[in-house]
Amino acid sequence: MAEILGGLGCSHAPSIAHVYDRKKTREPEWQPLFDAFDRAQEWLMSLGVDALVVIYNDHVDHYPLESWPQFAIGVGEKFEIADEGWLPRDFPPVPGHPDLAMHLATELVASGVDISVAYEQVVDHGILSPLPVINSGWALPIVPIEFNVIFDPRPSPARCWQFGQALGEAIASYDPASKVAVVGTGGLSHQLTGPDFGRLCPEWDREFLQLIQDDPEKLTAYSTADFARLGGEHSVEIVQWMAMRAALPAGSSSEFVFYYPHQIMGYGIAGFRAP
Amino acid sequence: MRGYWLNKAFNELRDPEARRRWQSDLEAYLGEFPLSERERQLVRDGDWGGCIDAGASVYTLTKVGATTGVSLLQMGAQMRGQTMGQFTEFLADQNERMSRFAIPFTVKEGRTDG
Repeated sequence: MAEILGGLGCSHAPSIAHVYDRKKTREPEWQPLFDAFDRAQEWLMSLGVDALVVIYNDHVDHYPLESWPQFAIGVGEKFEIADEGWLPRDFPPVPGHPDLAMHLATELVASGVDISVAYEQVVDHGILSPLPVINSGWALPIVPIEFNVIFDPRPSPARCWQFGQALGEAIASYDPASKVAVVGTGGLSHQLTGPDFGRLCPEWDREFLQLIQDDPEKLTAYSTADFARLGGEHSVEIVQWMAMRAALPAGSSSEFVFYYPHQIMGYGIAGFRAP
Repeated sequence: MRGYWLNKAFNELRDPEARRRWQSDLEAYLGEFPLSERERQLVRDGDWGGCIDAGASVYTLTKVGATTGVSLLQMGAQMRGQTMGQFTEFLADQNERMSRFAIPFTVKEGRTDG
């Protein structure tokens, strides 16, 4: 049985990439966030895992508008950097883990989760915003798993939780020598359209952080519309944190938490350790 | 999908060649897609909130921003019906009001960091 040693939830806002690329991470307004990422990375690397399974959402940078999947997994050997309109960021391709990824695809489908398989893909800010600050130098290979949180119909939070449970079992049935951490990216509160553009919902963010730490299954009672109302339309990507949390072994618990509501994003980072 | 062709026209801008076509001749670029006259007018007017109301996703709209040099915050100010100055002021005020909700990096009791 492969072992899942821990999980990490973190925001993936483009601002993280913007600040990083312009070397502004130590400016007073951004230092709290990047100091927290440093400590999160130090912890993640201290687990001694040999791969990261990263649950994220693509922003129509790889998966096609023309045929948009609900769930998809990248089984490639490497992932090129997406051009989101400003040319690709200056990073080498991110290494994949085809063997683990194909195992997960096979096991997920066998367990009733009919995930699409990407044999070649680029990765966008859903992964690349946090990756340089949690997996610097691409120290670990990744398996990218994509959720549809953008276009209706979308899988419900409860379905994303089930996905996470199936993912946890699929990882556990992999090569016994393997050690894995699961990362869920996105959120927390943000609203990127309409008259409330830029509004944050810190009370809800704190409630969400408390629930994801102490009583995560309770989040399955919320609908996508509930999350949109409570944290802003574009905060619904927190289902990726839910799936990460659901993938962790029973008895996993909170290791650390960080929250920084700033500008147009409720930035959150939380770590979880398996028992 | 509502606004499918708007999203398609916007999302093609991931390709640098498409960005050049938009920049050199917007009308010709829009003519490549079966957009309604109303949709074309929203784009010509730079009515970003109108594009969203017509079904565009903010995640395809950001590619228009990358092509035209309009930042997401500028689009946001317009959607709020504010000048950039007013929006910047709102954000500064919000930062202030939100700061009491921040949680410094907190390692759980009984855990050792790192």
